[in-house]
Amino acid sequence: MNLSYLLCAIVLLPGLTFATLGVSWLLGWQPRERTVARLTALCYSLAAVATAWLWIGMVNAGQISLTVPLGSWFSVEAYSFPLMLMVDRLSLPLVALSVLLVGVVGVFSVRYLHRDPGFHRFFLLLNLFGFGILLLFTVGSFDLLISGWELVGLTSVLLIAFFQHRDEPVKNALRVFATYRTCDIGLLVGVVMMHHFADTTEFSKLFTQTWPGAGTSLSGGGATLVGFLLLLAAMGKAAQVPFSGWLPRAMEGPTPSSAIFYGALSVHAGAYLLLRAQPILEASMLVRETVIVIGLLTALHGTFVGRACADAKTSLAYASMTQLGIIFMEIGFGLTWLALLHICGHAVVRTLQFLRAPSMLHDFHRVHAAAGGHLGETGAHYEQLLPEAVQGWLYRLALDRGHHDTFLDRFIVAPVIRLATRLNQFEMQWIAYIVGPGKLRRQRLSAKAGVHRFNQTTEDVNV
Amino acid sequence: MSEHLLFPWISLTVLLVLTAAAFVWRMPTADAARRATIGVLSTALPFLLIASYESSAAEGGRVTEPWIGSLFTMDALNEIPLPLFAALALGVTMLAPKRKVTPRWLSGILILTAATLAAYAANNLLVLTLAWAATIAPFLSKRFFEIKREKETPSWSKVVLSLSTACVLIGAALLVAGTTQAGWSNALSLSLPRTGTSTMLRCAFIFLIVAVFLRKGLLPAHSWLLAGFERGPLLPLALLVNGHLGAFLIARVALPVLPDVAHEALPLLGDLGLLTAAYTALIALAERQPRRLLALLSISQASFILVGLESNNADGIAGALVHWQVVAVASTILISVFTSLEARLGAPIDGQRFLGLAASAPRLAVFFAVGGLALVGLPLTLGFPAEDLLLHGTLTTHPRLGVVLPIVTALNAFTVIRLFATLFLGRPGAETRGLADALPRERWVLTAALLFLLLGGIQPAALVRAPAIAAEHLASLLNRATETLTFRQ
Repeated sequence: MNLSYLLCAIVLLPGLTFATLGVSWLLGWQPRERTVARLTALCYSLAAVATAWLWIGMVNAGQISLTVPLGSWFSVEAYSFPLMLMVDRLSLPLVALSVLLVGVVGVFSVRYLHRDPGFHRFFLLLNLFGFGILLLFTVGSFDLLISGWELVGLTSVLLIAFFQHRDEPVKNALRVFATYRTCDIGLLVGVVMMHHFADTTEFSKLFTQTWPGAGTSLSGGGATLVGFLLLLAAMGKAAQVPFSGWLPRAMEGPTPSSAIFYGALSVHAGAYLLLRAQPILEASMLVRETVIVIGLLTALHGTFVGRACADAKTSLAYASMTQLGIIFMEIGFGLTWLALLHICGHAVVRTLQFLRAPSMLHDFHRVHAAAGGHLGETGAHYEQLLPEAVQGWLYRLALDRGHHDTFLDRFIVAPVIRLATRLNQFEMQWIAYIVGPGKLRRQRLSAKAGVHRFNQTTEDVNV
Repeated sequence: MSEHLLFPWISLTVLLVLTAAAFVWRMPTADAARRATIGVLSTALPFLLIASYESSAAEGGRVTEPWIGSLFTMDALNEIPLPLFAALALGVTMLAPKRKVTPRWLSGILILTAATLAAYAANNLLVLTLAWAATIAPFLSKRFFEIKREKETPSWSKVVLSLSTACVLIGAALLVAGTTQAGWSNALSLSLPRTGTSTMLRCAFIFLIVAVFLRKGLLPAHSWLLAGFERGPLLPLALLVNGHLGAFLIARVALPVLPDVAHEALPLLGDLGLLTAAYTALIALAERQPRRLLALLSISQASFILVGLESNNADGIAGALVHWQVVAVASTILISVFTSLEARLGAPIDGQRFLGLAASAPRLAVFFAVGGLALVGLPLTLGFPAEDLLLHGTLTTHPRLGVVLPIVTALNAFTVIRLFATLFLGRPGAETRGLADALPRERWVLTAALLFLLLGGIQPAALVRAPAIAAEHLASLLNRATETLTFRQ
């Protein structure tokens, strides 16, 4: 079979599953749990077979990369948006990992979410995520990478708000979305800057060698600017300091989604972006140094805060953050293969840990029983090396999660909201002036009473 | 294919819709009037689709009507907006809650539709200005949209709409007066560029731009839209705003007819558009009332159209024209879903707490979420290519100013998700129990609208083609104006 078709099939399978389930539900058909589960299992089984076939086919043919040009998505005058899929030594392992882990999490979730009112919604979002992450890893240009990137972010936010009948997950989802969107500005502007400086965003034209070879058509100030913009995007997705506050909030979602997003794949998308843009990083020492410093600060932050966490999922989230910081450092030092291996290993181990988190106490007791008594604490001797005053200070710092959220809230969010509130108050006064204050007050009072006084059924309303 | 349509489809449509408006006005019951309106708009839509197909297949890309002179024309600029607006009017009619619909309300919608279609298709200044004026007529009279349970259009909104219409009329009159020596048909023509920068042309341009400024609700004239959305009839206002006649006036008159003056003055309008987009996105962060949030979102995203039109290159202009389609469809989805929710709840929604409506109306939640995200450029929707072209075009021309666009988009995306969360997520209150999900008529119409956005996002080439042709034409006119200016200097 033609390897190009296989690659297209791998990406499209989850997308088609999502579309089938989504459109049929919109038009009134609610499939049974078993149907949804079987459809998802079939999708990822086929994708796994196709991935294995593709890998073997490429090895047999001695190909280190496969590019599938699908033409131009749309074009205006000289500008055209290339539609191109590509796998190489960087993306193929990640594609295989994604297919495997999303499939495993799908199978796990069938029992975990059995009879949950959101069962169907979870699988819809899981398939959309599968499509998004596979698109992200297989695209051949930064233009198209944005599509996968944003789909991954959106599904992540919707799954954080999965338990929508409680207010807290919804508030946390909004916070995560705000962080994602802020950092995604880096990717959007970075891609446009690539067009500006290099006149292309296709990997094959932007980079002179196949991954992990160096060499790019960007240089000097252009490379530095684009490098920093991509770094901003990567920092948001990978929960790097100072944008790390969203990761513990994201643990509000169901455990399988925490596993696949924050243990396995979504958090590594940032590292993938930097690995893909490695030649741009190579062209700018300043960006590389910044990546190393951010990675180091994140690793330290993650390990300190993780030690003060009281619940299992948050501890795991900070452990992930620590490893992500180290991966960033590896990328900054140019250890690309090590970073790739680290991503794969970390994703698998962390997924297992997240999926076992609900049975952690049971596992703990089993280990103790097997060991014939309580096991001693590990890692405490590192803390003993520090003076007691520093230990106390660090503990308080860790409890408030490095004051990152406090800092962002006080110095960035609060001034913006204050300005917006003042401008909005001015607007309301102006409208009250032009339409008449009495009318407006009456209208506002009726709005406030609004939904509270409602006591009708929809049949009465005659919609 | 000839440069004439096979049949005068556009005149027939405008006439049909106007006649229907007169008949519907006198109908005894709302149900009968709604059926008649839906029938007429369903008939008009294929007419316009056929005309659109003929126009796209024509060699010159521009066709006029046979037999009845050249009142109307169709080209790359209006071949999508014409059927799209008819479809929007049909959708709004089908989605409007029964309690809000009266024969006169429907008659107002039909007049607005006929006038907007006539303005889009106008082949001369006289038809364009008269049609522009006719679009606001139902809002000025108290006999159309002001029903028992509906709020009245604020007088401030009426004043601004009237002023904007007066400016168009004066601007058109000055334009004609400045070129009467070339004969009346040339003076009224919309395809003959008036070169040079004489005082008369400058004055005409200024009046036209003030009309756009008022109609689009650019800062500081945006308050009429806020007041209108907050207090006025939401669905008719949404239809009026989504006609985007302000942007159309620039693309049809200001750029091609007055390229030299436009080249000098348009950057100011573009900057004002960007400022409006940023300002409204910012104050939306502090706003909670859903009606005002919908107004702010509509103003902010619609201002991007002006930014794109001002970008001076084909990518940006094409982006603006595609974004027009996205804003029109996506904001209509948002406003229709919101109106349905208000009708179900039987009272205004204040947005002070999470309502948790997704528990009882999950499909309406999905329509709202996808429509909202398409508005702010979600991948796999038509909003994504629109945003990509806009960003690319604007950043190419104004690298520093263009950076504001993604920031504004990010703020608007947050507002969309926040509004979605307020309406649909959180603990459901007692008042929301037993709330009906999307009714069959709502489900089919909203699914069709979503499919337009989604299929347009998956295969955008079909919907980008016509705007790209129009954009290339407009960009070439502006470039020629730049060269002339450079040559003179």
